[in-house]
Amino acid sequence: MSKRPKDPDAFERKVKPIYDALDSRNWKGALKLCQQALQKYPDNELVKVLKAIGLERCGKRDEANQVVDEVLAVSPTDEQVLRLGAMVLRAAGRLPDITRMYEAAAAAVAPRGGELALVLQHEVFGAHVREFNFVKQQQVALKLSKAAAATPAVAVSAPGGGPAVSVERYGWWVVLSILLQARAALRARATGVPAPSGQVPAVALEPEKLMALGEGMVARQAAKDGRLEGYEALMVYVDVLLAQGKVSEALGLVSGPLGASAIRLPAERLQLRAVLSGLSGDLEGAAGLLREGLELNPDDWGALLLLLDCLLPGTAATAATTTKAAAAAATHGSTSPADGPPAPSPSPAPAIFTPQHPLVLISGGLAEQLPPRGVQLPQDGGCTPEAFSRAEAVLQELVGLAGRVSSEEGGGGGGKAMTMRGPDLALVDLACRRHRAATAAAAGGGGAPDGGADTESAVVDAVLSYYRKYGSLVSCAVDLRSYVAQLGPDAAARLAEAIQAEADAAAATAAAADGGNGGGAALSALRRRVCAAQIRDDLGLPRLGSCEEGVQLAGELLELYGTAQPLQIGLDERERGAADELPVLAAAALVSAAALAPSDAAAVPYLLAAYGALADAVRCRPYGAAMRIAAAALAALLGAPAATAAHLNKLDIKHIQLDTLASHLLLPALLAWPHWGPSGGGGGGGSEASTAAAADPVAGSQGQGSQSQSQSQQLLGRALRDSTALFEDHSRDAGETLFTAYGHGMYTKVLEFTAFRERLAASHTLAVVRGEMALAESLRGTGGSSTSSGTSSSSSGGGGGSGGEGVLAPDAMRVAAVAAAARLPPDDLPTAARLRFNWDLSTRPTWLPPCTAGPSAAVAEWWRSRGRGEICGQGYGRCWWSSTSSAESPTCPAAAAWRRCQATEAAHRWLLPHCIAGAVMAAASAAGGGAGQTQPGVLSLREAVERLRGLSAHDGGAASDAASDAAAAATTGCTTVPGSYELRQLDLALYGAALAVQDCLAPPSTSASTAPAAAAAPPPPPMTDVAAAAAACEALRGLTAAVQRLVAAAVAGVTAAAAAAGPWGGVLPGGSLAALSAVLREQMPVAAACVQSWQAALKALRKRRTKTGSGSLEEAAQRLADGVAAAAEALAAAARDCGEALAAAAAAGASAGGGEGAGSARLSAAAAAAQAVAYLREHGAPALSDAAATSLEGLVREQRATLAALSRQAAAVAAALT
Amino acid sequence: MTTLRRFTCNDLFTYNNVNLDILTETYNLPFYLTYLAKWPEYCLMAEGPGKQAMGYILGKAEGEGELWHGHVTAVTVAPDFRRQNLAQKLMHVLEEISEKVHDCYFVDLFVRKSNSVAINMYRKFGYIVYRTVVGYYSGDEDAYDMRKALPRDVHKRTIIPLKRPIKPEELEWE
Repeated sequence: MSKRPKDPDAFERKVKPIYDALDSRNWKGALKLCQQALQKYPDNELVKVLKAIGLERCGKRDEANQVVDEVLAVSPTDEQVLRLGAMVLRAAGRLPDITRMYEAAAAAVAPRGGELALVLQHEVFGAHVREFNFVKQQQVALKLSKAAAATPAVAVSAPGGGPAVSVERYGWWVVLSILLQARAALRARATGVPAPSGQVPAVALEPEKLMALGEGMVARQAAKDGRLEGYEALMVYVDVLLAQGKVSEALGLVSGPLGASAIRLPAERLQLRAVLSGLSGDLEGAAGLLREGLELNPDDWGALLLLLDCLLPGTAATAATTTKAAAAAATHGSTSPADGPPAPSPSPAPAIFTPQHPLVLISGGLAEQLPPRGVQLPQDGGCTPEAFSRAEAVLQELVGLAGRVSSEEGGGGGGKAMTMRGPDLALVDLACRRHRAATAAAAGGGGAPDGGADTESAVVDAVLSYYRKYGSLVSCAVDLRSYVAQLGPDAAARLAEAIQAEADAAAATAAAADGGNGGGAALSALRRRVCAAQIRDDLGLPRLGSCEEGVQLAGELLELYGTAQPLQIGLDERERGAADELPVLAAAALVSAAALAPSDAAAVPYLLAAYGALADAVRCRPYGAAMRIAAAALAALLGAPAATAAHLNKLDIKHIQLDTLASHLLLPALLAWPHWGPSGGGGGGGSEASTAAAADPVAGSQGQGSQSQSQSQQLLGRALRDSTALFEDHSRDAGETLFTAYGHGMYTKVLEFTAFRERLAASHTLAVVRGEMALAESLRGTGGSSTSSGTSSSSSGGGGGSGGEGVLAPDAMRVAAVAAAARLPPDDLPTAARLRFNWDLSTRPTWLPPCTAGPSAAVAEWWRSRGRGEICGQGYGRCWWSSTSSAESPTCPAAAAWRRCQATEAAHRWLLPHCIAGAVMAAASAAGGGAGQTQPGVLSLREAVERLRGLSAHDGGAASDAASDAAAAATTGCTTVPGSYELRQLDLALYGAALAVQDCLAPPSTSASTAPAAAAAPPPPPMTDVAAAAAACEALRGLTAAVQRLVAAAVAGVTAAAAAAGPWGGVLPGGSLAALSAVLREQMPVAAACVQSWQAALKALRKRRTKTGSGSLEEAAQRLADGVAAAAEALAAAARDCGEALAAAAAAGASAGGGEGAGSARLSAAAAAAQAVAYLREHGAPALSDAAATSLEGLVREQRATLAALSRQAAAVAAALT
Repeated sequence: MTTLRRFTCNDLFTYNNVNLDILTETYNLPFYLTYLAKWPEYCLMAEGPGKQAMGYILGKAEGEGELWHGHVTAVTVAPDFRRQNLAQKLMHVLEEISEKVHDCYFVDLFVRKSNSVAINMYRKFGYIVYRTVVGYYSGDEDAYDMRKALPRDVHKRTIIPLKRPIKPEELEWE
């Protein structure tokens, strides 16, 4: 323990300036002051930890840790020293050390008792909170509550500032610690994955027992005090009761005096009582309470839906799901989804339903861990005609009430009352329920003989009537989305027609009223027309039959958009424009045209037109999110990743959005395309690259500076690092706010934050970025790595995949891959069951379906889908991913399939660094380098390949798709774009061959793969296994054949596209290019490194043979040498093929127009863009402004740079192989 | 139609239709979690018919004595749901909580001096410009500190405008 300074004032004078310097972020100054202070007080712990803080803030983390360790060594007990020490430890992620530090301090002080003992014990609790150790939390909380009860005069204030923590609150800490254990036990039971250590009791205790224990403690406390602490305490009590199925007890609690004292807002209590009444089966009672609440607030949508559920329980959402599943089963011959409720027999209606309301489920609570408890349906099935009439009458009454409330409230408070569209929309909901019930009855052979045609017409009428009332509200189409999406084709057509008629009529009236001067009526009429266009789109209409129809539709939409411009003069550019939905719909129509085009090449002009239209629109509305997202996606599809990034950059996507948005909107572009190496490489590509990274790709041609080039190189590295930081920061910091929630008595948040932390830790995005980061490092090294002797190899470094392209030498690749693979523990291999899918898919346009391939292959996969006819730009409302939280939907089969594919892809990418490490390492080992021992945490090549094969065994669907594509390609003569399946198969061929060669060079019995602890590798035995050599050669032939097939298909695609692309400036489709990009940047460099190391191994063998007298290799070795040489030659030839095709494509683009190629002058990017615009105009595409032409120029430029970078990469690969 | 409920962590995964709006700031996680850990009753989400985010409000209660007040930290409405007076509804609920749950004297908020649309909106809701905070927004721009008195401030003493502009370091909280 440090001695107290003799003169506290003098000490204070020394220390105060340090705090001031730290407060003003003057780290260097603070460090200097610390140094001075340490001269006078050399052993002072406070000064030392202040120095550690300064060091940590300067980025000198190692030194900071060292200083803190010095302080910890003397077991400090000073609160401030401990607090500052904890800050440094937390920044370094040393959470267990914080716990040990406070435990030691608390133990030292405990005998003395008093306030400090309590404070330190409090901090020990916080340390366990940070580590999510629920069992130890419970033990410490118990001690705290006893100590606090014994010394009521001593109180500790809440973490993060706030009121002192009461004895009662410590009691709740105990309860929460127990409930968290119950929750962890429930999760472990549901997932089959054991709970992390410290989260459940050492002696297994059933979650039911733990919940009963928690409930008992709460009940005793409440009985003793005659009250509950507040809302938070009450809600946790309700949650634990519900989780145990004690619904009526929960209702009694809320209705009784404890509920009255804990809930301050009467409306909230009323609603909670209503929900619990419904859950307990008292539907009449619930309906009564809900109506009471709705009289105060008729717009409460949750209450309206629950009211309809209670009045018509047979039509509740849970029951409706079974009806839909039954309908799906009838049409597709499938059964209902496994995780949905059981499929009902046609009649009678399902026996139970589950009333749901957001109020009752605590996010992350216990009840959420268990299947929802159903309520018995009434005998009549809960949807009799009388019940419908009654429900309708109730809603009509509320419609009237809402009207009155709106007009009355208008006066008070100065503003207008909120638009109360709830009861009106509830009428639409009711019509849909009636229709569902009728179709279900018809399917069951009873009821409506017309199979629901009448009731469907009623839905159309209800929608129309809602549109009449609210069609000028921006939200109208969004409100109606889920309802119109349920309509059949005939009804959809009728509705679209009727709404269009209404919109046109409104426009005519407005024109008459305003005299064409663009007043409020004009705006409202415009909104009605925009809404009509949106609803038509949600209905999946119009169905486009040809490219021309797509172009025409786009033209109409953009014309209407043009009429909006006079109405929004002076509108702040940050605000949403009056018709901003239209350019997005127009772009969608053009992408539909692209989807209908006969070839990938022919699709390009439509995509350019779409990009141009969006570029025009974002010029005056630069922050339109949907427009930017669509433009970003188009740029990605056309090989312009920096433009993608620049568009998304405008939306300021950050923090949690790196998980929900950047993961699937930005990463695919950055992963698919190369990042340009230093300029001076092939064909001046480097200089062309620069514009593409301009701050705003539509703002014109500024940003041609050379600094943008290095920026673009950093894009991927930065995206991966930022994303990882989101997750790492949270796993480090989550405990702080959690502890704050404990201190403030926010008990529901304790449960919620715990669930949130689990959700982020299990994020699919995290798995993806970890895998991609490791892979990028394996392939491109981590800065300053040596490269092969290739002509244009480059590695400008920077870490995290930010380096340039090129081919790493075997040693560098091995070192990089071993380090990278060690960070991807095989035990954490992503699986669908363990991952959480946080992507906000609803931001994706209709024509950008969530891809089953991972982000790295998403671009190639889109083009492949286009070829299959799977892309369509209309019908957003009918897309499975358009609903909120669609990625995690428990009932949507498409979502479940998507999650499985994503998990498999992520796992595949995780295994690749292990494969690379193993493949290159094995050869090094055989060469006697001793570097081939298996590294801890890194899979052996054999294991990695086996796991890779295991994943691909589930690829049945993709395999048959690929086979049918290939068959179709054979008959039509078109090539198909090699997609994710082919790329994964190529990985299997590559690492399978590497394994076979390894088995030949270093047979399993002696290879290090099974003996990780082998000290020094013995010299390899003579190679005599001819069969192994034959197998290796066969595997190598398989690899070269697979590469040749893939390269041939991609080269054919690029060549055909280049031949056709002249008229529109030579812009190529991105599909085959993306496949080439993947092979050239991933499999080929690894193959080259493997070949180099195999050749080195064989050379070493030959050397030894020469030493021992016999000059030539054994037959087996000779065979292998021949096989490797042949493979090297074939792979080099494939790389050269790629290079030639890319060069030819670049030349074709450069001399676009004539097609006579040779001799004609190289067309500038501007001229190429102008040519594209001219072509589009000639072919009826919507008129594009000059500014749009400029943005197309940027696109052309960047695609050219991409081509040039790929050419350089092809040359580097070829050089490395020869 | 709106379901008004407490803001939860899970809303961070689905609030993009609100936060992609450039005028809505996306904060780091500790920011949201701190609000939820201290003032969950002040953090409310307005949910639309498809469970999509319509808008939300984040606030807190702070101060001492007669300066005990509710504070609006962020109030925002998705572009799709504007012009329905949702912001007013959210503000009204926050005022109600300040009055009935926390027994505050007033509610206040800070707004960019240049954001006249918002300033006029708050005026309509009954807020007055109480004082100017010079360089409040990273030194670039001044803020108006706007206030609305609650019934507990019987004599409306808390909303007598301050003539002198103040500097950020003179603020009583934050």
